Amino acid sequence: MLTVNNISKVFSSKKKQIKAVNDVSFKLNSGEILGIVGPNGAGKSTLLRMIASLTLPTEGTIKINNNYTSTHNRGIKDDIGYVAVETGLYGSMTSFEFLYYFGRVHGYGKKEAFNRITELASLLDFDYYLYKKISHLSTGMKQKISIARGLLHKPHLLILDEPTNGLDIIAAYYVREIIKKLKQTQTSIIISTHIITDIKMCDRLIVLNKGNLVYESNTMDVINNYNSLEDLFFDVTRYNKNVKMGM
Amino acid sequence: MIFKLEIFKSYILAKKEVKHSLKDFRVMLTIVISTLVFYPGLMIGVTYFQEKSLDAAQSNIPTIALEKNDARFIRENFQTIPFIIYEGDRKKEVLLDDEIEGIMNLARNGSKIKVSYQYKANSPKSLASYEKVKAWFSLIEKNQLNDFINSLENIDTTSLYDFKFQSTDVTPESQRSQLVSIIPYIILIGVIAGIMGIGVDNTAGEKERNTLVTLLTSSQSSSEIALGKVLSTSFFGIITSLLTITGFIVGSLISANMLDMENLINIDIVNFFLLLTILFPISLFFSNIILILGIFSKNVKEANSYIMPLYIVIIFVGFISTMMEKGTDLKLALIPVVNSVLSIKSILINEISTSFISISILSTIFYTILLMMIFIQLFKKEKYTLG
Repeated sequence: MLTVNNISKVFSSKKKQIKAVNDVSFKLNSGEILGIVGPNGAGKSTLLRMIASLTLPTEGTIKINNNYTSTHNRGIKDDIGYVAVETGLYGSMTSFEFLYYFGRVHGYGKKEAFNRITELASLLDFDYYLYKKISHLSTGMKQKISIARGLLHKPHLLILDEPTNGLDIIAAYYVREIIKKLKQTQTSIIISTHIITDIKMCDRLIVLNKGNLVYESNTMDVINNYNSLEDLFFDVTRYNKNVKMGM
Repeated sequence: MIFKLEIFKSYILAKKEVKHSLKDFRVMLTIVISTLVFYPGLMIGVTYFQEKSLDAAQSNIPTIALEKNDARFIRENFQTIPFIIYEGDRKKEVLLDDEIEGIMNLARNGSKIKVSYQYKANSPKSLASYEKVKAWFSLIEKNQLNDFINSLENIDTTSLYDFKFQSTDVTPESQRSQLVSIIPYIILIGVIAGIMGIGVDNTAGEKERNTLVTLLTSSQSSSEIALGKVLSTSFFGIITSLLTITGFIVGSLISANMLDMENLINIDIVNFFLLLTILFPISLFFSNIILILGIFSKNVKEANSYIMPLYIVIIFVGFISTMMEKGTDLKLALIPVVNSVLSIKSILINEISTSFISISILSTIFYTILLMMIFIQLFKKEKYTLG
């Protein structure tokens, strides 16, 4: 479904060059959930943005359903749903207006857009605030709208950049339940996260460190081989686990 | 088909952004309140103070230039003269230098006297002298009539003076009304002020709120999004132009009615549409400049810091243009802002040069298309959209 082949991303400025992602390759099958973990600045968001066709790799290729990504390839954008770490919603709109606009952009007719929004509102359980202004919603409610926007055009691949970040326990639980429901619809999902409960939902896991892919495995293997995610992290990233206290 | 689809996507984006901006109270405040309340208020205020200074000038005893014969005639025939007589040379220059208030010529044919009076309408004292002299002659006629009625049997009607009063405003065109001279400049400033917030919000504001990423991940191409932003910002540019010019015309009409004065902006429907034809391209020109600076910036604060110097340059160029005579040098029609100020000015004083206005409009459209292409190209670069 998704083939990421030796991709690198270099950000250049007059003073320096930063290699945010370095020669990363992996595959994702239909209906599979892939977890991407790594410390801050590891290149997770850059990798996801490249897969979402927001930015192009400096080297390498990304293929989704036999199409190569490009920022101008509208066809490939129809295959991807991307939910950024910041929800990026228009506060002055109601949830319905927001989703209706994107529905129309994705080529739905007026009635089709309405039906799809109603369907998603029922699936993600936000019917009761569909006509409320987005600025009046809680963080969890906003995240549901953001996920609905990513799913509006029925993409084959859903990319979730830290989907439970900043959510309370209940809201995070609901978001995970949504992801589980989506897995049943054969939607492939990539999740970037720091949260262990999120990782447990994933079929496979990759670890990024300083732009490099340093570990790839089935989630079950990780659970069997390591006591905790922390152990995995310190092991594969080779950071020192002993904290020096200046006391 | 693909082209049509692209335009449709840009159109729905523009529609969404227009709706979004209309919900913003600040936008309504800048566009509607300033154009339909502030500008008419400004017109009424300025006209009111002009009227006040005219009232003050009424108490002044004017100095009026007369030919020696006319001066002698006035002194010999009238006991009370409400002005000081000036019999020196270079009468016209002295009037233009505001040293005297008017020049009077009497063309006598027996008792029939044709009075010609030259004054400067932009000088309150000169304007008041005109009113005063006109009233004085009217009073003489009235007094004569009373005397005639009182001594109906003995009066020699051939000795009654019959005044025909004729006046000429000698103010040079460039000084005819200072308000009319600065109106084109204020209109342009109003248009920039109206679209500045919207243009910045549609670009740097979207970046700051992370909504631009949301747009870029939808199935719209960067060009479609950019075009949609040009359309929505330009829409407000056009609306602001329309409301600004309407505001000034309404203000002029209200002040003319309230203060019983001449209407300062006296334009017919053809000139009104001609004004809009000039304002629409220049508002699109400004929209594109603001969008370019907006997408170039990381956030609203940075965008404003780029726009401020540009705003000052436009204010300066616009202000210099107000001091220029109406557009005759066709080279000036190629300079953006200057060409629009001069074109608007020529319409307001009803001295239209078709070639100047045509070149102004076409050159502004050319610059606008160029700027629009630059904006769309910048929008395709992730360095500017995601940076």
